[in-house]
Amino acid sequence: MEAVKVFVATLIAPLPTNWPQWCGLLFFLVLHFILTRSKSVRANNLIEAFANGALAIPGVGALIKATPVVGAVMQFLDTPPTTTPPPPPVPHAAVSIPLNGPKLIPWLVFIALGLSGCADVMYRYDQTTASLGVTAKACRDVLSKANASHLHDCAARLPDKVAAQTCVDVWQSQYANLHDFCADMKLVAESALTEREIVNASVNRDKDALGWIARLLKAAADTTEEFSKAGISFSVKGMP
Amino acid sequence: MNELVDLLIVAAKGLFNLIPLWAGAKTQEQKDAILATAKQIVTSLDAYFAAADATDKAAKDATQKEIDEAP
Repeated sequence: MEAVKVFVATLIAPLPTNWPQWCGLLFFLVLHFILTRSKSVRANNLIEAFANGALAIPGVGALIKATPVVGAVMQFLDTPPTTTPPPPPVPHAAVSIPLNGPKLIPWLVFIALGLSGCADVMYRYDQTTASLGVTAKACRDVLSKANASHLHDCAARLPDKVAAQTCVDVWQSQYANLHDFCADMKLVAESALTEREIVNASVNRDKDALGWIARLLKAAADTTEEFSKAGISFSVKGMP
Repeated sequence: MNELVDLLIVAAKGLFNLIPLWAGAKTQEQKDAILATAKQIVTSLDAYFAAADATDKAAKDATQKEIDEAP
């Protein structure tokens, strides 16, 4: 019992100073809770987007699950409801974009909310977007540098033409994979900028009329709705 | 090992531009500047990637030519 008291006190103690961060965490947990229990195809698609796109970012998923409190809560939330099983997915008419970029937009919203809590959401969103662009450029710079270095190494294997050609072929295969990775990062940055107005409209709607919890919940629902209106849906495994 | 260090230096140089982005903006003008920076960076990505692709292709073609012409 004493351990529980200490645990709860540890959680509550930083609240006065860290409330924006707790607000962001609460937003994520509530959103996760709602989506995992939703029967709508769109919400299930959004879950898939989180699962396939966002949590697939190296380190991010592991980082979240490695956080003891978040990990424990997520494990609880991930337990499927026993009384209301999710309905089978049905085809829908919205445009399905088979790319990773748009799938990551909801995660960007979460990062922005998680970093800023309830204030300056769009400022954090813009920071994240710009950072993605900078990171994509850095990724491309590193790839170019690695390409020049590898090709130089391959040329150094001459006069053994077979070894040199094999070296180039192997590198080109790796190069293509890395190129795709950098191009995906560029796509995410471009998508984030393109969808900024939608996110902005969702986040700032009725800003002064609602309390911060209601506002965050409304922003989550509105963002999902706006994506749907814009014809952006999220592919589900096994569906076209 | 040297190659790895070189790559890390290139990555660090590229990511150096993150510092002003995350230094913190307090006024609305500074926040607007972040948005302008985001737009400028992201809209220039296509041209940046195209130029890098051309450079890489030229390097690959030069190496391939060297291999083909080797005795």
